[in-house]
Amino acid sequence: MGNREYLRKSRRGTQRINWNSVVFNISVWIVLILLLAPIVLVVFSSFSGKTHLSWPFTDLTFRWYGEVLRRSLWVKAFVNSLIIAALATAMSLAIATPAAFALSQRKHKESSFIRSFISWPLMVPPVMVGIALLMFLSRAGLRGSYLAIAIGHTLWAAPLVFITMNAVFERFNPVYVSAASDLGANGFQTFVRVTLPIVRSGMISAVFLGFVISTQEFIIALFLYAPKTITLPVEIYTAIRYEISPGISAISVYMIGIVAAGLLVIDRVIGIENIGFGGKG
Amino acid sequence: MGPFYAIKKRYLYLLPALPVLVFFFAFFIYPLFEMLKISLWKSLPYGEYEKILTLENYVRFLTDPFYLKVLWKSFLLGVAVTAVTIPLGFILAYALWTSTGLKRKILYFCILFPLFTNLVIRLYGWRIIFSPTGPINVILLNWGIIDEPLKLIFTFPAIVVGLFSECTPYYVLILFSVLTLINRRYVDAAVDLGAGPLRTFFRVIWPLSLPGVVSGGFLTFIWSFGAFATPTILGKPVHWTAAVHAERQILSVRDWPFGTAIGFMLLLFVVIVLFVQGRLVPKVRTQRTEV
Repeated sequence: MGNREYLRKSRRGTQRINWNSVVFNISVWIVLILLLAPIVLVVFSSFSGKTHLSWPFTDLTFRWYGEVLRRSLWVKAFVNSLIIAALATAMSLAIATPAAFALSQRKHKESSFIRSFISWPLMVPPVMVGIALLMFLSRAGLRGSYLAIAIGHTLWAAPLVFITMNAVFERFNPVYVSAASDLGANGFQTFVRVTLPIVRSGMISAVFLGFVISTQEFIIALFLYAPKTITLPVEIYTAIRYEISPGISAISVYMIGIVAAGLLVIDRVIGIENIGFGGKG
Repeated sequence: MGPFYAIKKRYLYLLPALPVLVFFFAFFIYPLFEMLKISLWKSLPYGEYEKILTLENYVRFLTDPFYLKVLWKSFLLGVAVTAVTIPLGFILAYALWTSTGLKRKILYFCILFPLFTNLVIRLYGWRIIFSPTGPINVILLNWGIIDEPLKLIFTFPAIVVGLFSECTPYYVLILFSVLTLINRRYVDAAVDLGAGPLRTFFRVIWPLSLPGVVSGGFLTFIWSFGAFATPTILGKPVHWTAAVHAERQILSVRDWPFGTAIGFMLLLFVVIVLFVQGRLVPKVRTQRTEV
């Protein structure tokens, strides 16, 4: 299937091609190690029995996993992250899905402008968004609330949900919609009864994307949080400036575990290849 | 059919896009506009400001050699990260493109897992790896390659590595979505005509994948240029980017007019970069249709 098999059949000798693929495979491994090493190290270090982290991690233990759950600050931050992520996901889906549907239907000048406008928040440095929202939302008396942080995260998650959903709707065959309207359904009925069931897998991927983007964002949260609504990334960020300890690793592993479990579930439901920003292979 | 009906019919389809537009105007455009106003006010000591229109915050930023150096260093950081990410990310995207079945699934997982893992957690992982008592230093010490721990953490290369691992998953996915559009027959044709693998790559695959390289590369540049988390966690104050200085001015010094002015200089730079990209991408596209 892959074009490397074709390359192997080429007229120039096989030896050079093998050499190429050796170098290529080593490079792939190096890149993968660079991507995965930090996560693997965090997981390893959470089992370290020593209170200060130093290699090699000895006296392996599970005790940090229990200990960290007894620290109410960490648990609170964890729960806050989940609440805010749920809020942000709901808002992103609610505003981005209809827009993705509308803009996938027609290709005019204004629709391509709106499409690029929706991705602007991804281009603006998050520090700018944080500062701007801090000023605006403190004036509205919302600073430090769950809603404030969720609004900030929606600016980051909605464009990604939009891109995913837009790709889904573009692959979607409009014949079904015309059939539904020929049979007398209005726009809303068509959307709920015909369009939504077809785009289910895209929706699942978008929900996952929105949720995860919100749980990992912390720059906007850093500007907007109050002690009562601190999120886990902000808590970790402030903690690791002063210490690195197995306790922080353990709470991180809980978070990593959620992501890994989510990815595996998604793979079961819709196939891991279908997550992404419209890049379907 | 009157003209009003025609206009209504032409734009009515945009109605479902209204909520997202309203949301973005209320919580994105308007707050940025308010911020622009503050950056034009006169800054007074101790976090006070006077509502007099002035450009002195911008003048201060652009004439202070310290901040010019910060801007220049942020630019260099963006260039360095992009230069590393483009070739290495291409290798991974290419591996993903040519893989099938279970291997593709595993590669996908290896790309999406870091992408969805908390950035702060990954940076924390790099801190463990680079620390003087971390695996790299201890292993090299034990093997007798070095006599005293290398200074890895709080250096410029550490920040580049951190940002590389942050941007690569996005870059790979963008590039991969472009690679999937390439007609495999072009590759077959090149091979049939006697091109070796390297020649096939540089003459056929690389030109066809340029739109992905350009848009992924520019995104990498913009994110590294405006990076905040990585320089503060893996770097020292000398490595701080303009974004970090903007945050310091707002949250620590409480000099709102100056902090917002730094932010807008950053934004102006991003807009210029995006403009350049906008000029570059169509050229690439026309090249594609010619091939």
